[in-house]
Amino acid sequence: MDRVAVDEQRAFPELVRRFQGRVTNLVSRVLNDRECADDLAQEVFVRVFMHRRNYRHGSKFSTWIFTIAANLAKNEIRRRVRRRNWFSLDALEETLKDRVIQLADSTENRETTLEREQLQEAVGRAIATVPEKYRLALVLRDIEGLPYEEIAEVLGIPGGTVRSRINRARGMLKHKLQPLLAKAGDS
Amino acid sequence: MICNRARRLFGVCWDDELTQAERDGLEGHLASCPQCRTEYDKFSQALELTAALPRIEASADFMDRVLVRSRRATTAPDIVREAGMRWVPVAVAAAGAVLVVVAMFVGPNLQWKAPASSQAPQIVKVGGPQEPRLTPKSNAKSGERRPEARRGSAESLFDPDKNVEFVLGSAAVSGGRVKRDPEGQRPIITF
Repeated sequence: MDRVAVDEQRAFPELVRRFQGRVTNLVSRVLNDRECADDLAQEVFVRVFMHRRNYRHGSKFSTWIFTIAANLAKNEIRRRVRRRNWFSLDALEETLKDRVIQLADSTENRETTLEREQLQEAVGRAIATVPEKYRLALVLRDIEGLPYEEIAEVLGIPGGTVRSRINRARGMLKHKLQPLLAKAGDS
Repeated sequence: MICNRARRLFGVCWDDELTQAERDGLEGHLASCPQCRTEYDKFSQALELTAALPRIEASADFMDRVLVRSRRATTAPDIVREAGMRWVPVAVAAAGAVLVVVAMFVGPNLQWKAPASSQAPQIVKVGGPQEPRLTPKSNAKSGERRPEARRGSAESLFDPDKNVEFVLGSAAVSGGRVKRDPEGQRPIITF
């Protein structure tokens, strides 16, 4: 990042190469929208480049870039909520029911690629219905694997709040995936 | 350990942050409580599914698009800043030059016009037995005759029914008739 700040030609592409996967994955999982996530992830790197001289030396770069990504994702979620362009809980329940029926009906080759993809899609949708402040903490912890201290820095909240948010988010996720887990567990 | 306490430790257990005493207590409880055991299984299953979600990779042209957007995002402000800096001294110099020119050519006229706008010019009645010098009008609106003047009272500036001549210090007049006063020094404008 120091090399990017002094405008070294090859430093920024190297930075993008290193972090593009993590940033895209984070934003995709928070938004559950692949196309929009790609645009937003690009915007994250554009912001990094624009504000490269504001980067505080000594702080962890991943924390800084995840903070930018989390803020942009939050803005996008709020924009969608304002536009009411977000699928409802009813829609999620419908999706989960469909997945459960599909899982129950399939007697052979349960581990086929298609079923696995369907399951992953259902989990992705379930995560996307967790309220924003819990969702961000959940994705940073259980998908990106960030330590609690770093999540606290990224979200700008105390460590205790991070723990309680993640705890609540996990409970919500378990509750939302309940029908899927029960059926999958029975069969 | 009671069920509520055990369930609160599910997350801590998943993060592997239990103390040895907590671990022993939770394991003992799960061994003896099938409901909590089922709940823990569902809890861990949900988190396993979440953690097992495939990583979403950036698109193939991600890098190119980021570089194009970054270039555009950073170039634009630079252009604006340079353009602004380049034009500021020129604009200031031009504005200064215009002010000097205006002061040179319009300044004297402004000096002449300034009293005319706030005060009426000195009026001298020519041809009468008296030549009353008029004090500046302060409240009279243009085109409006004062009632006193209409009645020809003592306060009246002049008789509205008779011709009045205004003698000005210096003037450029279009229309009307101009002649010299008896001393031949000042022009007399007749309306």
